[in-house]
Amino acid sequence: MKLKVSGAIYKLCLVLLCFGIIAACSSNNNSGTNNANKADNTADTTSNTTNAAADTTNNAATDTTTEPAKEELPEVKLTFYYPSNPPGPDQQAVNDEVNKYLKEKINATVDLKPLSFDEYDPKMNTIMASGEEFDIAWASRSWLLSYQANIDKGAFLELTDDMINKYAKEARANVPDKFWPDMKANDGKVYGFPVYQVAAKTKSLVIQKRFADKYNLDISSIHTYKDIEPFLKQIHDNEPGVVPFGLGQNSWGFFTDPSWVGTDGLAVSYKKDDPNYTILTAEQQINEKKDYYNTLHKWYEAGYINEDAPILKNFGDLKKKGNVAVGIEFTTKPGGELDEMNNNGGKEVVYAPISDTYFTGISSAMQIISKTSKNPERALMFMNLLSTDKYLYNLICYGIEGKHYTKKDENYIEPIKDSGYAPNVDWVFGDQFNAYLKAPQTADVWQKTIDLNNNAMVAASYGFSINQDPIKSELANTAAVNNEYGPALETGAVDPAEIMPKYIEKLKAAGQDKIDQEIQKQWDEWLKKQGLK
Amino acid sequence: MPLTKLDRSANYFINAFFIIVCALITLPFLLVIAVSITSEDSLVQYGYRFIPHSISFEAFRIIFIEPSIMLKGYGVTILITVIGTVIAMFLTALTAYPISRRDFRYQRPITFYVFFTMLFNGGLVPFYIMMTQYFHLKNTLAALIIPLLLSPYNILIMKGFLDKISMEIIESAKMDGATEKRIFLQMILPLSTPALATLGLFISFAYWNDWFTALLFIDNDKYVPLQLLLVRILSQIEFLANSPLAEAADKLQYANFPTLSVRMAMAILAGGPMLIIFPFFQKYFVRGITVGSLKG
Amino acid sequence: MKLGSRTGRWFKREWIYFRKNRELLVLALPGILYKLVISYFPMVGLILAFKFFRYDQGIFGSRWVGFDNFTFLFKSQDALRIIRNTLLYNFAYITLGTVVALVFALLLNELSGRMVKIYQTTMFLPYFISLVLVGYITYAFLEHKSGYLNNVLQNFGFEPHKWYFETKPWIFILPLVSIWKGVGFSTLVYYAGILGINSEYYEAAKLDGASRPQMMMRITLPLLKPLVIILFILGLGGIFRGDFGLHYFVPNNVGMNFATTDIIDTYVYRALTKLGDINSAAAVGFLQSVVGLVTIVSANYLVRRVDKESSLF
Repeated sequence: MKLKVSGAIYKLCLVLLCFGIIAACSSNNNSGTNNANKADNTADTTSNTTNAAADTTNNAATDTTTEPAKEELPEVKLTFYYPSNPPGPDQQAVNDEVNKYLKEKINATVDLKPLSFDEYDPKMNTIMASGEEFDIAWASRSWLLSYQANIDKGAFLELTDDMINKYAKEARANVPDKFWPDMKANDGKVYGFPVYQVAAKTKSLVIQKRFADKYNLDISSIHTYKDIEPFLKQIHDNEPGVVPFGLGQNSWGFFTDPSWVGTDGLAVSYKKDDPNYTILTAEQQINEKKDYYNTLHKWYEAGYINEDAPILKNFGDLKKKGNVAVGIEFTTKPGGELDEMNNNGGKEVVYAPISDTYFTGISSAMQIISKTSKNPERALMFMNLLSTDKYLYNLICYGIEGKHYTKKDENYIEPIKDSGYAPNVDWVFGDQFNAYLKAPQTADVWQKTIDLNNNAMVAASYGFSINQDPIKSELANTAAVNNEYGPALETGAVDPAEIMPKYIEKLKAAGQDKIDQEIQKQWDEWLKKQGLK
Repeated sequence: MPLTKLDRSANYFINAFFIIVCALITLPFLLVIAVSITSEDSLVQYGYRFIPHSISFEAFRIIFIEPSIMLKGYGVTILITVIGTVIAMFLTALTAYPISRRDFRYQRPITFYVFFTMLFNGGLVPFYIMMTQYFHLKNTLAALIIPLLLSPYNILIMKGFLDKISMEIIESAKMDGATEKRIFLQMILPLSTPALATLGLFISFAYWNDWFTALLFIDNDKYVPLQLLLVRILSQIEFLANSPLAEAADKLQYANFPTLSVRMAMAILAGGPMLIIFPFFQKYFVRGITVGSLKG
Repeated sequence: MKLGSRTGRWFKREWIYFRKNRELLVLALPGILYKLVISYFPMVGLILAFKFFRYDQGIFGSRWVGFDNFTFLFKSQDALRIIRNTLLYNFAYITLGTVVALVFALLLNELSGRMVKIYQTTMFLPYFISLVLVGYITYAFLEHKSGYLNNVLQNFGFEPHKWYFETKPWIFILPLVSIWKGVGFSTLVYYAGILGINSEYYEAAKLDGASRPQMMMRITLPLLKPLVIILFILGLGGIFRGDFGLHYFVPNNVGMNFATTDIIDTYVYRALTKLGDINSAAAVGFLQSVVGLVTIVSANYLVRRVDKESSLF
């Protein structure tokens, strides 16, 4: 008994001790965060202001000239985190060269911090969550360092129109106005600057040319997935060892319906001819796809689709063999056939588009400024240079001329093999249309891409994103359900008659109705604001 | 050195049993080795095979494309493994010993205190803040060593080993006027060599395999351990081979990249040296150190 | 007054105890301090399970949301399925793992010399292979068309199986893989435990004419009991925490086998990765820890009632 009592007391003491420590921690926390960062700031004139947001307004108020003269700018050091391949041993040399140029231009130096793709999210999340100071990072709408989620967590600094006009005017001018709303977050504000590049998508079937030629397939006659069926049958019957239609865990979902808008990845879907833009609920969408699922299942049963589609982790492994007659492609960018040829074991391919070309947004790649940045205006000036200054952009992309690449003519360069600098991530650094060309790119590849962007269909839902807060747990649970049934249905491996009712039932149990209602509500409000309803 | 032998047939039977078990266990491992030296072409065409259709050491060549970086990675890993293991073994035994003593009044609360940390942890963020902003350990070797020094699991296993030491020996040593410190250093440690060897194995494996700590705390190239290097190489290959964001020109280069063989080769390169560490600790798996021999 | 003197006496008594135990306490002190700083200080992060964490407001400044972060798990219709799977699999892994490792260790103890070392090293090999790779390896065996297992089955005239589309086989495959990967590790623990047994016990037993099996049952096993119990209780602590790698990479994340492969950790991963909701993830982790704590404290209580000496704390 005695022992028990003392045991309990000890436990209590330990608990109290812990709380004491927690309290001590909390009182230190704020000052600690600020102090710790001072050390690495070399010439920080604004260090008295504790909060970056206040900082911005201060500076915006004092700097009245639009083009601040070089001498007026105090020297600052910036930090720039971005995902990259291991750049090579000359990273520092290139960084030094960048600094030399930057110093001259905006009296700043930058610490380039490339991180590999796997470590980017965990590391950036930790850095941001711990309030560590940095200036710029690369972000995207739904891939690494996702945009809205991190805005919700208060990680990114708002880029006001004033700031952009003042410090990134030239770069902003390169981005068409009709695309700009894509940068808006749920609250209508902008928190990042786009890295402008290809921004339009078309779903296509990728067909091996040798088979298309052999069976006289008329590519122009293919408008939906269904049109390919006779061809698949021909392949299946006459070409043993060839997969007529290849799918995998990371390559599915080629449903298209010309009467829909937003079949893929957009916040809402609606019928093109619906003046009210009523959203299609998840159940409606699944039911609309019934025919598609049935077709797929038929193909699967007939042996048109590779049997291991729902368990094949990386479809590329199958494609490499060069015996997949038809595959799918989601972006269809100019010059992409070359790319595809390599992925298909060197076999020539042709694209057969089966959807509208629609705009996918410019926010798939962007640069953001951290709320912990002490020099957001200089950071923005640096971002502006990255997207407008051809020398700087190509320096950071390809390294030093003569050392890391040789110049063939005005526009073409050839990277020197194993030269010690090759991050291979042009889409991280700035406006991609400033890049030097490399063989086998054609001279008009950038112009073609820009045209593609400009001609793409911009959906009405564009610029609208869902505030997930009220339906968080429903979204989580439906995500799990979708993951369970989606791939199985989309690869034709299961019988839709049996699985679809189960799928819908489970979605409903997971709260899909609530999600649909909430989205409809937010969508209506947004439409009203836009004057569309 | 069993004291009496079982009769021979039983011995054969047990040996046969283990040979079968080991064969079954090794089988998948052989596949790893086979795939690592299979050429990409035959992997693509014939899948994973125990006997490669055509052999290629391309995967190893790719990993060692810059041998100096790899060697440095090995160097860092060996360094932290050696230093970390030595300190961690001592610290673990030191913590485990008092809580293995039944006559220690605070045995249970401290055991619970240690054990509690196995169940609950506060997540990365506060830990990261503490390591970087209070202790300023970013980009230091210490940052790679300190977080793994004292695993509650190891402490409790060690406690399990030490539980068996009979109280009589300790009592008699105390009678002779030995302090607890002396008992620990001169009796307990030598008495528990098999236990310490096991502990040493586990700890060194933990250090050897750890890359996440380095990912968090190491920014520069100076202290990047082997495992993090390998993770980075892999991430690059996967990206170039699969991501739609990678450029055509890069894909050209990587489309026929032996991703899978490289994965397997990495497992071999990372795990291989363990086969050297293993026998080192196995030397200490000896039986029969008695108190008598200590006193003598 | 009386109370005062009673507490005074209590303090005095405790003080005497403290002096008596001081030496051992000093030995434990470095470890205690280390755990305090490295493990207990960061535990402030546990409150994130009840908050909406905003980076710019910090851990303490962020808004409290009560149990909001837990709702998604309880609202899930799959809650029963994943909890059942997690508990049953973990229970299987713990018991099977313990039994197999104990048997192996006892048998190894009967052998001598070089062979033991070879067996041990071999059994340890799988420990070094990451579960991602294990996923690839099992795929090579289980793949429907060219997998080794189906080849073998067909050679013996059996029907090939579509392993990844079925639910039943996984009840056997997963524990098998788990044992394959972990048997070297746990066997080593028990083997080292046996080596640490004082050989005088065996000498005495030999003098009494005991046979090998008798010694195994009467000396080795009873003396291993504390170790077995410790490892068992430690295992129970993770009863609500599934092996993510094993259940994600090995069944290959194929929806058709979720009925028998999906566990809490894989479900949470599928539900939350897209949303990037760290608060809900923290909440699930917290819940898993609490269940672990309750399980262990009860298990420890039971052990204590039966055999006080063997309990963990």
